Amino acid sequence: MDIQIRGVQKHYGSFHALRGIDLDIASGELLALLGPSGSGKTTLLRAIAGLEPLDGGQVRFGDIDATALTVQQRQVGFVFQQYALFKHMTVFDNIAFGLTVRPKKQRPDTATINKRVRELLELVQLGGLEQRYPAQLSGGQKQRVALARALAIEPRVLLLDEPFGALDAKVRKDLRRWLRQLHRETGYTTIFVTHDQEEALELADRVVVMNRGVIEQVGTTDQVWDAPATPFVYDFLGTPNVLPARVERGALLLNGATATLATAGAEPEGPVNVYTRPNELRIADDGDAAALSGTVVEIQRTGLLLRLGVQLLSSGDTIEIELPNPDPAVQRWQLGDAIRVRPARYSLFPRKATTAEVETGFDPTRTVAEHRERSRN
Amino acid sequence: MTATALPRPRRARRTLPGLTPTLGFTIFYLGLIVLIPLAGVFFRASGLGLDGIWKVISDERVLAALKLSFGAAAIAAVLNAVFGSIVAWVFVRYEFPGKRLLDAVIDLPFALPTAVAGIALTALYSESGWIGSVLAQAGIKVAYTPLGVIVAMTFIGLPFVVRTVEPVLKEVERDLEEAAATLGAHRLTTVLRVIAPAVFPSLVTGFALAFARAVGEYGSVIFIAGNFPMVSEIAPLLIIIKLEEFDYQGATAVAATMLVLSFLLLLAINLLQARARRKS
Amino acid sequence: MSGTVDVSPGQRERLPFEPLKQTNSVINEPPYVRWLLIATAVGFLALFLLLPLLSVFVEALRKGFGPYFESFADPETLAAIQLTVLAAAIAVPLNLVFGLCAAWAITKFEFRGKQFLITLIDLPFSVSPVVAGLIFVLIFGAQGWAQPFVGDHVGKVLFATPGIVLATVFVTFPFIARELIPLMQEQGTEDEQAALSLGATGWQTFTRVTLPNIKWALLYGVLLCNARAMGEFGAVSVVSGHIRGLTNTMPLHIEILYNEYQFVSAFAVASLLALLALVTLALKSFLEWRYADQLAATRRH
Repeated sequence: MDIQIRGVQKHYGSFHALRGIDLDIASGELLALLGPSGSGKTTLLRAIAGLEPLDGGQVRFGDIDATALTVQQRQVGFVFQQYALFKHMTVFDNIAFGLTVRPKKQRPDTATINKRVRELLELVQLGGLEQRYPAQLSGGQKQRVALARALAIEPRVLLLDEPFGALDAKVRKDLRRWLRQLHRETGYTTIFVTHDQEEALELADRVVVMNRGVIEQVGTTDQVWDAPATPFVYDFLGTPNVLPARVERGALLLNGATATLATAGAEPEGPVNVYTRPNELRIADDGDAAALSGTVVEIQRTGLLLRLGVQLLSSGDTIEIELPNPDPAVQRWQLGDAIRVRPARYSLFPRKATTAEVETGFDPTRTVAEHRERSRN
Repeated sequence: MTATALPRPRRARRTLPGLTPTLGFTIFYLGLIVLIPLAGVFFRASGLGLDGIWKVISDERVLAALKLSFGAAAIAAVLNAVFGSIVAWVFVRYEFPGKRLLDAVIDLPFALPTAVAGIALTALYSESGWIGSVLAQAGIKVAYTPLGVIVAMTFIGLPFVVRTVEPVLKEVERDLEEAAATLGAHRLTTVLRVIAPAVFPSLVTGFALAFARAVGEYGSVIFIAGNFPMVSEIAPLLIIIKLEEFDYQGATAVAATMLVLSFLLLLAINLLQARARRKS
Repeated sequence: MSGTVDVSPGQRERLPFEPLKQTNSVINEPPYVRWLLIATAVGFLALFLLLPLLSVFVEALRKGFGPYFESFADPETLAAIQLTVLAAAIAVPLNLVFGLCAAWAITKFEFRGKQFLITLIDLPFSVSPVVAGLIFVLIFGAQGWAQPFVGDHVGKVLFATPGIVLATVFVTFPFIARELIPLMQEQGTEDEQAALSLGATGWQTFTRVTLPNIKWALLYGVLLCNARAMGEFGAVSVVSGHIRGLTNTMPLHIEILYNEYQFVSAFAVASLLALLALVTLALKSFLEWRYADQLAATRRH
């Protein structure tokens, strides 16, 4: 079932949790709501479920105005972060719960319920555990019971709140793959909330990046990664280097004209910030006009990557560059070596304290070092 | 019984000093104050033999007293279970003016001497009292009837249910109720099928504690009961009457019967708690 | 609040405050149900707790302040107050030492039979006070099995002060221990081990590390123990013999006055004990409000 969200508003006292959210979700889509704490992603998910009364706006399931329906009537499958399994019920009773609480007329008979629960147990690969209590299950098993319980009511949409948040890394990886497969098999419209960019990009068809109660960008994994629409998205997905620059007569001048980059020509004149990820920087030779000179101040080898900290001669800022597994024959970097780097890919955002940027707490005038410091926390 | 519900401390902690003197004193003190005296009662009671005990408690007046003590205690405990649950629910879920004050007053029956409670309740429920005079117009007599016994026992057992149910109710996660709602369960269904089962073991514990306390209660009951033999005479009073008549055997027999019944109750509570713990 | 990447892994996004219980109408009861439940609870508590408490003071002051204060001039009343204070003054310190020892042994060590020990400590909660009194009558009474020895070497126990103290100790000994055990169990032994590793002796560890951690719970335990010691009725009634001016405690004196229809005097003495109870409760509420973290989370009496 497709979902349309129009102008959804939610306040908690003076805290504006959702500031007019518009979003269309296609039937059968697997969508991730990605954002930091307090971005409103969970509130949006709960609003879709009907667990949060809205202060404005509308949620539609296909042709139905869901805003007019109670939680009970919405028929959404909601999987809670801590699973919220009923401790005093067996796995079987947990999964059957949604069917057994229906009004008598709509309630399936016992045989149908039994059959349905067994099918679901097979689907989530928990056959044989139906008489266990939640306390006797592992985290991953609880997660799957919670999912089966949500699927039992044949939901219009499946909603998952931080589905892998409470699991350890290994189980998380397995469950992710399994969920992707389950989605392919069942075809439910599925929305999940996560703060983990990797999880969102790996699992979802489309990613919604949220910040401070607004949507920053909606797009496929490729779109949000390759073409971040806002500084926030750039910042949230990875830890970019931010270089102050100017656009003058269609040319981009980095660091007070020590380097010149070509622009697409559409940029407005004036101060801008150049966003470039560590892996988008390349080592340049001496003749490259677009290169920046600096000194190696930090060397870090992590597996297949070599990470260098480069202090720029012009500004004194330290930027980070990531090189693929280096060939030892070509160059062995030492601390203090002179180096020239150039951005192979980058994005420009006007450097002007616009209101939007102030609200996101995003300060483009910060030095690169400060910026990186904060991004890592 | 709280301690039994807490996780056991981890092992390997012999490094701390003082086990021998503290445990030694604990056992010595318990032995002196509890074990030896209790053993004495059972020694006495066993001297009577089962026949002897049966002879005492099968007496009409004793049976009536036992029946009243246990019957009224059961009714009082049921009242406390019902109203105590409501009080606990209201305290945990809602905010209203005066809540803090009421919350503090809940423990009054623990702290107020029973004799004080006894005369206060009698003054209230006698036909000239604030409540008694109103009820008298409706033709209901409370003081000096079994009804009065129930009132006093309800007072004395009131904190138990509230204080056992409250912490458990606090821990019932909001998530569970939301989960039930998304699965289509209506409010009443959620309360009955999700919240009630989670709270039930603590409710039973509270019920049993209130019951045990009420069965043995003496001070707050004797004033309001009127103590008419066969009508409103409770078992503990009968023990005292028998003692005053120097009928030590009779007193011991009644006491032993009450002790055994209380012990069985305590055992049942512990078993129930152990079972509830195993589940979660 | 900064909108930059401050991800706290594995945590549901936290709002700056807990959403009020009442605002989430989605999973709450309708208002009329809420008010009905609140009214029921408040009504029940008013009827069974507040009114009796109030009536103690109203009855005591029925004839004004003069007769109220005159009640305390009676030598028998004064003797009863004295005896009550004496019994509490002996019973409370004894039970304090016992409570500390029992709590230390039970919470800081593992040994077999611990559960049984805890059950034994709980015993007075489930034994009728009258039965508790009877126990001592059977031991020290005219035909008691300890009487031949005690009678010759110690003196009179039953119908005398020692009996009253014994009965009081029996009925009130769990209070301090039960207050401390859950708290000390929660606190574990790491602090003590740290102190020992820094060279403190066992006693220094106890007085300088353990005691400060449990002082508020200990204070409340002592208060409750004291309130109960002064108010004990059933057990003391059995062993006292009701000798006026000699073996009458305050609660027993209340009974005598009440049965003699001296209502004002009875309620006047009762009001003293009720005040003690109120002070105990007020202190408890204050401690819970001020030092909630230093009292055990769940408590039962």
